[in-house]
Amino acid sequence: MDRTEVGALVRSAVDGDAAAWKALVEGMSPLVWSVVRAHRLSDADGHEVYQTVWFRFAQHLGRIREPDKTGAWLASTARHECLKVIKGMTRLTLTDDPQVLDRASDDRTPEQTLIDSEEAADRAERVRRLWQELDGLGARCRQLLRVLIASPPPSYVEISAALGIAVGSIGPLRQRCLRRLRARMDQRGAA
Amino acid sequence: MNEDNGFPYDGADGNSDGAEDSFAGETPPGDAPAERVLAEDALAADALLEEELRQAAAVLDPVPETLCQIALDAYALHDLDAKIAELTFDSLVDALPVRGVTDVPRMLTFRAGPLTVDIEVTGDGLMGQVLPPGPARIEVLGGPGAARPVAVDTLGRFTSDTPPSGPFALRLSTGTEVIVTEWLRA
Repeated sequence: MDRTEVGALVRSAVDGDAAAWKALVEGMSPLVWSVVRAHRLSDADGHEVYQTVWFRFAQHLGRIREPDKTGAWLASTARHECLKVIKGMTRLTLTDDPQVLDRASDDRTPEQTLIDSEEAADRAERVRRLWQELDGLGARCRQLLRVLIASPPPSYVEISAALGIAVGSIGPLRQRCLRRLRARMDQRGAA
Repeated sequence: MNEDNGFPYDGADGNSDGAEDSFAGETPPGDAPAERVLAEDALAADALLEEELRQAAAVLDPVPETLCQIALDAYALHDLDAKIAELTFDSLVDALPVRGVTDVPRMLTFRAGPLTVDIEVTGDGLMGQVLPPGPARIEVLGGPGAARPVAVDTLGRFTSDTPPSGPFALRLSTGTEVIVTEWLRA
């Protein structure tokens, strides 16, 4: 979805256009999901945060001051809900086991089935390795990259809202993190 | 450039906001043509890796379909006739933690104009009061299509022995207006 359409879609959805709402959900869901995943919530918590964000968005639809910045609104709402979950968890046992908290979704998609076919095996292997290495990066890089790679690509304003970092720091951080990741992949390839 | 040098966030816990600006201006473009070509190659490689990661995310960590459907259905929650009661206090954020006490109730306050709704959520249910005191019809919403009435007395005090699971909101009908509290995860 073209981000310049967002404001118009929001206005149409306010006027009762269900197709516009659908376009918003489809275009913005990966961003909201990426913020949830970047914060390493459990599946149950992550699902609830995702729902809360969309329920609240539906509720505030028509009252959002800058419809053009809906992506940032969603990202920021998701971030705050994630931080609340983390805050509520601190009195419980906090697990930092990436195998438990940050594994890829169990749902198998048609794409995944396709990628499992033999001719795609090499590519699939590289994709899995990339994902593993991403998981092994420091928290800062892992968070930034997970949101950065939402589809369609989020704007820097949205990333800033999602992670609470300055817009101006995103470009340099992105470059640094991507190069670290590539170095890890190269190192692994050479080993 | 040494990639392993001076990268303070590696292994950080994600709370190190505030020092990112140290990266600003880190990669000045080279003046010599050869350097510039190298820099452009590196930028292209960055973009390529980013795109590769984007595809990996779409394959390995997509938005679960059930969630997407719930978000689509959430359009039904769009109600321009209802007033929103905004969250003005949340003990999870605004209260000091009490050391050694683990099962503290969640205290929430919502406000819409002169009307205030106080809610206390525990593992046993929820209770609260509408202020100024007065009769109202109150439902606990659990999502699109999920509404459960709660008992209210004439002073606007209400109780429910079913704790909300997941996101919830209260819908209040006072006779003159309908008010819905901001959606929140219990």
